[in-house]
Amino acid sequence: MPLPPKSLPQTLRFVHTADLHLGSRVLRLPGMNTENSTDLSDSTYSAWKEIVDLCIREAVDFLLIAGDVYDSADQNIRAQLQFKEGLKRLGENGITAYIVHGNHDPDDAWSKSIAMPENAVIFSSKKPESVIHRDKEGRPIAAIVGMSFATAHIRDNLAEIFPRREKKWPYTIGLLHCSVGGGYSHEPYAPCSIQDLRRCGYDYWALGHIHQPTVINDRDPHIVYAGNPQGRDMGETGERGCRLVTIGADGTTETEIVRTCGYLWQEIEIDAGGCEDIGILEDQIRRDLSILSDREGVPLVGRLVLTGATVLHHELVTGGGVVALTDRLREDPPGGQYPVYPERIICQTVPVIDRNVALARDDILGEICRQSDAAASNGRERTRLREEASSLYRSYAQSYTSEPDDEEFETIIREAEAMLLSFLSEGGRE
Amino acid sequence: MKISSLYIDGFGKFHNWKPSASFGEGLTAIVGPNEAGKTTLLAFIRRMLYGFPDGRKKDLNHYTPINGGKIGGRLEIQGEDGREYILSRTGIRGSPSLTYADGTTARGSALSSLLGPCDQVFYENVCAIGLGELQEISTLRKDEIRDRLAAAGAGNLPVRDVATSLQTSADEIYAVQGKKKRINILVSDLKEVEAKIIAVKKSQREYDQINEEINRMRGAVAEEERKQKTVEEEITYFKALEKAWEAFAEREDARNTLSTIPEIEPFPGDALEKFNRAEDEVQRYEKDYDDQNKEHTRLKGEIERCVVRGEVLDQADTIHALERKTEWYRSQMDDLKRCHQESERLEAGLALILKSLGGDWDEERVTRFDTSFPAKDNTKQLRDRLAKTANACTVQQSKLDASEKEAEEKHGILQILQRQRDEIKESAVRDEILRQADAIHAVERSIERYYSQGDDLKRYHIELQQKQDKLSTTLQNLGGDWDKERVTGFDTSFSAKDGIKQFRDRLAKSETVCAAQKSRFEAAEKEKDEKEESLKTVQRRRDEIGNVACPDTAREKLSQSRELLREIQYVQELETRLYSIRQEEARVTEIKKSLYSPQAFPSWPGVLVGFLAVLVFGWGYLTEALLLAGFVALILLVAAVSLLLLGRKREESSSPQDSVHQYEKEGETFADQRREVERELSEREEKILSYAGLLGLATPPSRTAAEDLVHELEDAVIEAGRADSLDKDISRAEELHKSAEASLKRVTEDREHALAEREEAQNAWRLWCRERELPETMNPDLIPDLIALIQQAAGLYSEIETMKKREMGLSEEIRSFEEKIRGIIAACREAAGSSDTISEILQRLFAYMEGARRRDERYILSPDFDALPSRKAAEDLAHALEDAVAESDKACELDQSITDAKERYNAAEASLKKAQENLQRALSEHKDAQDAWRGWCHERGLPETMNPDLIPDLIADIRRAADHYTQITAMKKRTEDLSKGIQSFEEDIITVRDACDESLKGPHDTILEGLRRMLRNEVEAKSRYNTLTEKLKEKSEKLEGTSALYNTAKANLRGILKERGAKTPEEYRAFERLSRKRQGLEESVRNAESAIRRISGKDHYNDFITTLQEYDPVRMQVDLQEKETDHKKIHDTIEESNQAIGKLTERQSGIEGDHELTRLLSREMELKEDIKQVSRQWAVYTVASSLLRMAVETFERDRQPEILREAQSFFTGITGGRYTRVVKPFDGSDPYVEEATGAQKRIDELSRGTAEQLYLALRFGYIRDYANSSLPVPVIFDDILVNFDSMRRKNACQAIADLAGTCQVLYFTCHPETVRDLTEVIPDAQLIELSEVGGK
Repeated sequence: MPLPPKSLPQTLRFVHTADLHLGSRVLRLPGMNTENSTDLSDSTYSAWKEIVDLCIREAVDFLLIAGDVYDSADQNIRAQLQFKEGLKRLGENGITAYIVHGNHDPDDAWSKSIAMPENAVIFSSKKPESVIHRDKEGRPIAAIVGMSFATAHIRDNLAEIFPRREKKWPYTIGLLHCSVGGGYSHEPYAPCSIQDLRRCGYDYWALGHIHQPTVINDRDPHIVYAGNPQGRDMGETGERGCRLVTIGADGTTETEIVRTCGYLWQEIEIDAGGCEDIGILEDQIRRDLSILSDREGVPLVGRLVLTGATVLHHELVTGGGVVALTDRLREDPPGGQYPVYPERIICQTVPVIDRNVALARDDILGEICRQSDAAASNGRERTRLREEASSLYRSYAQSYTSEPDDEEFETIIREAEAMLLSFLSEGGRE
Repeated sequence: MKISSLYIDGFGKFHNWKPSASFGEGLTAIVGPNEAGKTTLLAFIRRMLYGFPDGRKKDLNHYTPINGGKIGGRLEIQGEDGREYILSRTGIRGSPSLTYADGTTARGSALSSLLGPCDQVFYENVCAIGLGELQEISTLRKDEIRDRLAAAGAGNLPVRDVATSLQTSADEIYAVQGKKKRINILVSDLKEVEAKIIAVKKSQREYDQINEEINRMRGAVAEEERKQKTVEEEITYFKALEKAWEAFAEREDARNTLSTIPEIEPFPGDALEKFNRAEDEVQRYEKDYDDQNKEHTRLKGEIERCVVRGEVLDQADTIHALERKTEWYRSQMDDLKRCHQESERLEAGLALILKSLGGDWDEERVTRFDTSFPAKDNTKQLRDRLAKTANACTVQQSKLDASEKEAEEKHGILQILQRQRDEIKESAVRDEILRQADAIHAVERSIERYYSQGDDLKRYHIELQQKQDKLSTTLQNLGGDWDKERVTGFDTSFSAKDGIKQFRDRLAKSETVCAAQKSRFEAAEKEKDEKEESLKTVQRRRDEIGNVACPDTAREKLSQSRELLREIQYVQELETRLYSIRQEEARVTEIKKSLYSPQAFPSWPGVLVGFLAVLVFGWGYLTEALLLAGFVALILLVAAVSLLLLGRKREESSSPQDSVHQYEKEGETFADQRREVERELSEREEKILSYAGLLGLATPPSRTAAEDLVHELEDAVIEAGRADSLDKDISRAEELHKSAEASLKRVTEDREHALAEREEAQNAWRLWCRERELPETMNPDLIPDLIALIQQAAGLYSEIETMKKREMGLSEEIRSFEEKIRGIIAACREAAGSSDTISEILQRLFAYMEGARRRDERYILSPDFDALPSRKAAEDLAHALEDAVAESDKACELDQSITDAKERYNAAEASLKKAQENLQRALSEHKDAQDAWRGWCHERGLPETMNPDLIPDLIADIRRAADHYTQITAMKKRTEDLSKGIQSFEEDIITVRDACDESLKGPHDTILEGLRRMLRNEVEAKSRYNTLTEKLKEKSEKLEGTSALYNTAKANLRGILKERGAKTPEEYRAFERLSRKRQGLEESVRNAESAIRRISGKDHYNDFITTLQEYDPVRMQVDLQEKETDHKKIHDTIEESNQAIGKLTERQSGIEGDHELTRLLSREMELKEDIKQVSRQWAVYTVASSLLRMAVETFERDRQPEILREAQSFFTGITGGRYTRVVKPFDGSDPYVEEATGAQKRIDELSRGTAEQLYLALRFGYIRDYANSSLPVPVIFDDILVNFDSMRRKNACQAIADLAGTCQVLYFTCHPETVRDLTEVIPDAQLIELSEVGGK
């Protein structure tokens, strides 16, 4: 992707990435052909290659990697070798990589026999270290302070022990794998606060650990989570990439998100409201997805959520409609230049039946609505339903499933209600 | 809501259409023949209410307007609020518009508010009933009918199907008992994947270890390789030495040998060769000379031996001429020999033939015998004639034999037949039987009747017996003193029975009354006892409480005691206060004492004002006048502060005088207060005393005592209350007791009255019994039974009479039949002789019959009626008749056969005679022929006995003998010719032999051969002589040349020997050999040296030589072997290490290139996600299933009874009251219906028709219930009554009429009888004819 020319003369340019999780699991899609499936499985490697390509193309001064290069729990040698390969390519182009270890790849987890090339600077896990990066003429252009995780479970505040900025240091960058402020759905390793980071007086904090790309502070200092460069499942939807950071001669810091993901995970809502026929619905899905994929410009892995009140509800839910639709879309993935692979289709449609009307009635339909209302409001009925829908969660599949929480259970009740209304109304229409 | 009218702009075939009349409030029947558009109209109403379906939907009739107009129209609707609405829709996508009748938009009223909760699904399921639905029921299975009916009573929802489908879906995913469910498969897949991941990770963990191992091993290999190189160098050196050693040794040997050989001028390379050549030449020339000389001598000798004979050569031409004729001579000789042989053979053949012809035959007779063709023909004729006559004789003889045999046979048959005929004897009985044939046939025909009559008789007899038994039993039952007269005389008429019934009723009634009175009496008694008992109980409880004050007094005392306690408490408080005041007073006195005038401005006013402010604030807070109160409180607070400040100022400014003054004043105040308190105290104490007095206490009690007293009195009050209520209970119980006693008395009276009534009734009964001679103690209830018995007995009497009569009649008939038989038998018996078989049978029969006649007048019928003599007799008679007829038939047949046989016998005799004549004729003819033959033989001198058949052979032999004879003559002539030719040739040969002067002997051709040979030899000898002479001349010339060459060669050899100083050729050769050996040794020395140099290299040559000079090959071999062993070991080690490294590297690269892990991790994630989704889906199914169950339970409990009640009334109506209840038990078991008789029927026991009606009733019930609880909507029936019988159709019309009272009913039909029934039931029903628009 060509980048816009920089107006100001540049003094420093680097790429910030983190959480590569090379070779880690990526949700595969059933029915996908072997080639694409392998491509998808290997998409973390492709993303790493993209990053290396970006560094070389943009001739950056250095690359910052803020931990979790791979999952040590997986013992994945291929991942480490691929990483080394990328570093070597950077080295051949005179680019240094500054690396800290995170909770997934702590200091003690890297294979001893895979020696990293000389251009890889890995920070100590004992105490924060500072390195002055010099340009080709030997002028110092940046100071990088970093510290690695010694083991996986670091509960100490590492930011606290980072040194304050020294006067002689040029543009100063903190490199750390940590949880700032908490409140994310990640383990709170190396917890710290924004104040802890501010206190050090650095210019840029290149952080890792949080997979969602996030800018915590956009100036003085910049505190940035680059996010992981490739989403791996429906928990990691949306744009994924790394940060290309340019510091102008006047000291301004410009950060730019560069996409590195080969596949974009997305939840896509499709309104099936107007469709009276599965074929029409499929056409609509294809149209919507084609527009979407053209807009995104990258292959998508989408969870399609069908919504709206439709006469197709019954067919979708019980007549194998969803299964047939999934099969059709997998067989011939929609999308134009960039295909869209449906991860699965979630049917949240409702039957074309006025629930209020049904509720007002004295018959079984009305009774179903009333019972479900009672169950939703935590009554005796809810306990009964809970009890009756619990055997699976206590079976030998127990360790792989978890009983739905209250909120989820309420959704289930509503889905069950919609299903019943739709089932029972079947045949009542012309 | 109700639909009052409609307008169709365009819909199907309708265009711009309006019904002829508006719809009625209750029932509207829309009548039209098929194709009139009823279905279209139905669809129109539906779609107007619920919208037009999407045009893109296939397999659906969209009713596109075909006669113009835009799809849509209007419905005129009457709402429940009484207002008129117009609902219009235009176009498929057009939304409905709802206006008031005047065209103004109905604000706030949507279509849904008119329809209420009746959505389309509900409408179709409940409010519209089609014929199809009903007809479908008759196609369903029983369980399906049950489901359908259950659904009809629950809004027609497919509950059971849905429940089943949900359960199936859930079970497919997971079931407690299930195996191979989706979840199981997923979990086991996941486990498998996890296991694989663990395995892959394990191998990944080994990576570092493998790398280390590889490095270590590579180091070791490098070390070994270094060692290997050293050893290899050593081995190479050793090998070089070894290789060089051979050359070195050769060199040494050569040098040693050289030293022993003298120095000789070297010979040129070809010297020896040249020498040998010269020597060979000499020898060759010498040998050639000798050979040629020998040849020459031999040739000379040969010429001398060669001699030639001239006389033989002279006869050459003659010999050649003879030679040419030799072949001819030999053939002539052969021919001659053959001729001799042939004639010998022919002569022998002739002799043989002549011998065979017989002694008297010779050549002459043979040639004379006539063997011409006519002669032969004559002979042939004679022969044929003889043969023909002989043949005719034979034929006639055989014919004669056949005729004789036939005649014999015929005679045999005739005899047999006559014998048979003689066997049949004449019989008088048979004749008689045959005469009686008609009578017997008549008997035979009536035998079955006779038999059945016998059966009847037997049956009557048994029946009679039974009746008589029954009668006697009945009479016994009636009692000993009943007989026929009494039984028949007893009055059993209806009026008599009625009288008895009245008696019985009266008795029973009085008895019932007595019993009722008795039970009432007992109940009253019991009640009285109970009341007494309860009165006693209450009194006992009251007595337990004993004497207590009345509650008012007790309460008064309690209040007094409470007052007392309060006073005592107050007094105590006062005392405390008094004490504190006294202390304060004492303190003030002290201060006064210390300070003379310790006067000070008190601070209490300020405090008081402050307190007041707080109070005001509190008051404001309580009365919600916070603002006002706050304001006042603020002012008061300011005042209080200023008062306090003032006080302090005063304090500061005032002198000690002021203080003293102040304290004094304070002292006074305290004194006042104290006094006040003391006064109050005394007042209170007085009060206490008075209370104590009132309470009857001598002294005022302490506080504790007072408290106890209060408690005590509280208890007393409760006790008093209880006693009071018990008193009330007692008085109530007493009242009850009294009333019970009164009622007991009343009941007793009633009872007595009833007893009297009963007595009277019994007396009347006894009288009645006496009148009829019945025991007085007779139970009136038994009278109907008695009468029935009497009637039965009377009936039996009359029956017995009738049967007896019929029995007599039957007996008569049987007897007459038997008489008839007897008559026949008697007639036959008279005709019979004594010895006849038939007569024996008849005898026996007659005995039977006589026995039968002798029997009693009345037949005594035995159970084995079949053995009746008359039956047996009749049958036997019939058999006898059959036998007689058969025998006479047989006799007739035989007579006929005999006549036929006689005729045939005569014919046979005639033909025999004829055959004999023919034979005679043939024999005379044969004799003539033989005579002719004998004449012929005599003519030719042949014996007369000669067989004519041999004549052709004889002629042939004679002719052959004649031929032989002719040939022999010819042969003799030829022999003579041949002998002449041969003789002349032999003479020529002898002449030549003599000319050659040779004494050759033997046959002439041999002599000629000898002459010819001789001639040839002489010619050859002549030519040889000439050749040898020429050869001798050549040889002499050659011998001279060879001699010259020999001499030249000898001179040359001598020259060569001289050149090398050798005396003999041997010496020359030895010199040459020594010179060559020397050269060879020098050459090998050179070669060895260059070889060594090659091995050692130029530089190390001298060292090498030096080393070699000390070289020991044996030791060196050992050293080399050692080194090689070392080398091999090192090589093997390296090889092993390299292999190990290879394996490790392979594993390493396997790990490095392992794509499996990511794939497996991905698969693991996929499976986990699947499990999550699938289990969630399961939960949805399961919850839905449970939800449905809960809803159904609630519905069945709360709602359905009402519906069933409604349905029940419809069902009773439709079935004309046959069924009265429709029951759905709460325990969930299947519903059933109950008949008017109370019998229950399960739904699957109902007939199809009734099931249909029940279905309809349930639907009606549901509609009625719905209309009662929600907004009623119009219901539409599409010809639902078609399949009902007329009765039920009428009933159903009544049900529809009932329903039409609740909501509007639109009934679509094409059946006039339905319309008739409907209008009969509902006279004000609206009728709309559809045919008016049909086909428009």
